[in-house]
Amino acid sequence: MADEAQSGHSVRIETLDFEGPLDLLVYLVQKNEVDIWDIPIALITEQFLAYLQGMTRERLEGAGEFLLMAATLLRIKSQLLLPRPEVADDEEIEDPRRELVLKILEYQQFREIADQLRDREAAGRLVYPRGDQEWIDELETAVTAPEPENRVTLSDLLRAFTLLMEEARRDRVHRLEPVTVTIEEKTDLVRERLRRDGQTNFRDLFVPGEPRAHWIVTFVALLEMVREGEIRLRQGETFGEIHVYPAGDAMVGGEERG
Amino acid sequence: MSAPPPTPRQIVEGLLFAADEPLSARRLAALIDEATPGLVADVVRELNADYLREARAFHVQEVAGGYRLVTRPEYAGWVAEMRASGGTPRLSQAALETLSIVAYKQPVTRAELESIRGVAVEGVLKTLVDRELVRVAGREEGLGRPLLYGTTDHFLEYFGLASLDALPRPEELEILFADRERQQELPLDDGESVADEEA
Repeated sequence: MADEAQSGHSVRIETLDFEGPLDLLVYLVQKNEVDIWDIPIALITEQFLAYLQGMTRERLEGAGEFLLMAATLLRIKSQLLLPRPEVADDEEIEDPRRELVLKILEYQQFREIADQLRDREAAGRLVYPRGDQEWIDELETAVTAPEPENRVTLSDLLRAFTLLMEEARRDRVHRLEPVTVTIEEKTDLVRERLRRDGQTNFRDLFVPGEPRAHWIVTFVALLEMVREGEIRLRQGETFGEIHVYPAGDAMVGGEERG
Repeated sequence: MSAPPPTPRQIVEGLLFAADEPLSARRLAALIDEATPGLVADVVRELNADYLREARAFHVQEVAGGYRLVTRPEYAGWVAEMRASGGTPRLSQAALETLSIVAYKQPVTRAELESIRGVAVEGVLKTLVDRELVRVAGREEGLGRPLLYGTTDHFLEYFGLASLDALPRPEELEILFADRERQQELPLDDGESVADEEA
């Protein structure tokens, strides 16, 4: 096989930067001009490990993914070296490389699409639509730049919620009730409100008279939505009313069309 | 004597001029008496023919399921200078790769994206959501109910795509299993001994 013939010369790739282990594998397959359907695993594994050694010094944060791939390569290599078990003639024998090859091909396919998107992006940057909302937003935010305190921190949110709960505690008799509402239901309610009104106040999401357990679920739903970048929170002034906007577009509101 | 009433072509031109987002043929047709989406499409073609003949600096672009007026690429330099902003930064390789997968696999979970790219995508996914190219499209049924991601209308606008169908079809891509039938010919699949070859 090609393995033995080529394993002598090492490829100097340590200084290159790769998006991930698959990116590196694609590079090695192309660099060595090997047949994707008949990858010389020993050679590729050797070069992969060589790159890994040069890499671990500088960028350790992504090393885990590369190490995982190295382990996969070594497993495949050992499987190829093991004598094959006796099997009936009509039984399909899976090439241990097959799964990896399909993964590489799938990844390569999306890389090609990414290249096409890059070309389209470059072309798109040369045409300017009328009434370009992004630009208008940029101008508006440049004029009315949000003050630092307009950003809502977690402690602002907790403060507002604690306040609400305390008010409720004063107003009502304490009752124990089973929680019959899910985070998803509350998330949907928030979404519906935002779709209808474009924005809403934090307080208005907590219906008076509702069991407090529901409020907690609503609060958790809100935290989740913030975490997932679905909504944005803004505050007019410190300790002021907290406004909830869809993350999509606070000003236009009509983002969802279909 | 009064001026003749505006033609559908003129009305469409006026509406596109005043719009701040792409207008679909259906929406335009609904705004004009006795107009159909088909007529609107014809009228848009006529407008573009006019603009081309008159060497205007703009034309109608079909994007995100609608029409909008855009300047021609030759004027990019002046417009960019007028706006005096570099605009949004170009997308990174990681962002483009992730976006490609979202576009084709949507609705898709983060785990699926990470499996295909072989790397963590949390940070890049957040960038894409922040830039409104990707949105949360729901939750998958089943364990953990992970979030599902999909592309936005802004994704189509950003890349100048009329619709998702305007993306290259997988079978049009060069590498995609161009020699899929060769899988059958894998040396290991034909029942011959593998140990001999690899030893």
